[in-house]
Amino acid sequence: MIDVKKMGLSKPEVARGIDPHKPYRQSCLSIDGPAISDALYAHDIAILDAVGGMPGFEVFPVGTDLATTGTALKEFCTDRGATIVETGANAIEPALVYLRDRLFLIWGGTEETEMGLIDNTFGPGFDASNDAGLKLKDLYITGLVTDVPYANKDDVIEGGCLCLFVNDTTGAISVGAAGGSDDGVTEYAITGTTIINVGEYEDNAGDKYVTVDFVC
Amino acid sequence: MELVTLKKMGLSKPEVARGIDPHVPYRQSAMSIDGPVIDGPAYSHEMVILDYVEGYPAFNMLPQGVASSGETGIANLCTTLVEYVEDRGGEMPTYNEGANEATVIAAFFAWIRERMFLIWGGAEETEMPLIQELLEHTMDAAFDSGLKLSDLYLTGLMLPDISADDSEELTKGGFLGFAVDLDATSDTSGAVILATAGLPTGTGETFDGWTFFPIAGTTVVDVYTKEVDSEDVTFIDIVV
Repeated sequence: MIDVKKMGLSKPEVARGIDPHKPYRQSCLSIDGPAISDALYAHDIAILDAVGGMPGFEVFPVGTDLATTGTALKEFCTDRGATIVETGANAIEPALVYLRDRLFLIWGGTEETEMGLIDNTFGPGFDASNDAGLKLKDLYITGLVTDVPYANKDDVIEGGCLCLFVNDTTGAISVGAAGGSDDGVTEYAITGTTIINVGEYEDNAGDKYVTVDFVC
Repeated sequence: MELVTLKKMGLSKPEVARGIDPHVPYRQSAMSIDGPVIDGPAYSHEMVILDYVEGYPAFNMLPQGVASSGETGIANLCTTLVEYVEDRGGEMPTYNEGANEATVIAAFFAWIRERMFLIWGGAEETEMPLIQELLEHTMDAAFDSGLKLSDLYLTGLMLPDISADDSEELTKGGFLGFAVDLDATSDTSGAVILATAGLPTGTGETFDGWTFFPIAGTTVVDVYTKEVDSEDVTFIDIVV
């Protein structure tokens, strides 16, 4: 039989948060799974992949500059059956088309270091605990902490797209918002997203971050 | 002015019950549609294309290329795909035989992306003598239940065209997609099957001459085999 695994209201396989007994609205748009190659935290954006016959999440493959990050993203897609003819930095956009519906927002990040037994069994480097990811589709998310520099808060375009920032020099990928990048960073829009509101968050150390509310 | 009505969401009893217990409520949502298959009976595990018949949702079978005198199966397939889209107001690249088959086929799969439905409750007119008699095999008037190939985590999807031996080649974490036989000399040229990345298409392999067309955004999370009627059959779990 074909079995639809995710739909409706349920208690997720791994309860988390203040009240572990609270039922969460889960749907086919949310997936529980481990981070495959590195620990993930809430507010991260990850790529859905497979591990051990189950869904898992991958961090973005990156290179050492814009071109090699493009090559890494292209390789990630072509290893999974995609055809991309563009090379270097030009491969980033077509790769993100293939990956658009595999982008998940981690909203319940856990880490193996919080779990002594798992940490000992698997060793550091593999996040064996399950994270909860939300498909970036049909959601109204508020309070997403971005990697937009706080000094650029007023530059973020309300009505613009949530973005992935790729550093031209280092190739690092981070979560951004249209208009909020520094010089030397290229913005790649996550299509279909709409930033509704821009806000800020101050952590216990007094550091300030730019947050966005968005619909996707 | 009439209200807009949302026809499908939540738990309900489908219009045409099926299976052993006709009274069991099925979980339905806006992602599932009941409708007949227009051009042939469809069974569970088949991928079909949403269309319409007499004002209602309905499904078309996936077009297949058929060789005939003077036309290869591939040419027949490409011509059919172009007509299918253009008849519905879409745009397709102009087909140039021997020059751009892969481009035409890829454009077709991109156009039907949001119209792809998976049959998970297949019915057939041969099971229903009255319908069979009235419609004389011209249409599968029994309703099938289709799931939109979007926002689902599905387990146990059968790949009947891929053997258990070849299943070991399929890529976990790869894309779901379609494979098309682009070998003009093959007996099955123009054939279209559901497949995943990693399909053995190399020289001398089972699907030599075939080309895989991935569906963007899909993820195959598991590949395995199960014994069905004394034969090992390939199954996959997917997130789409």
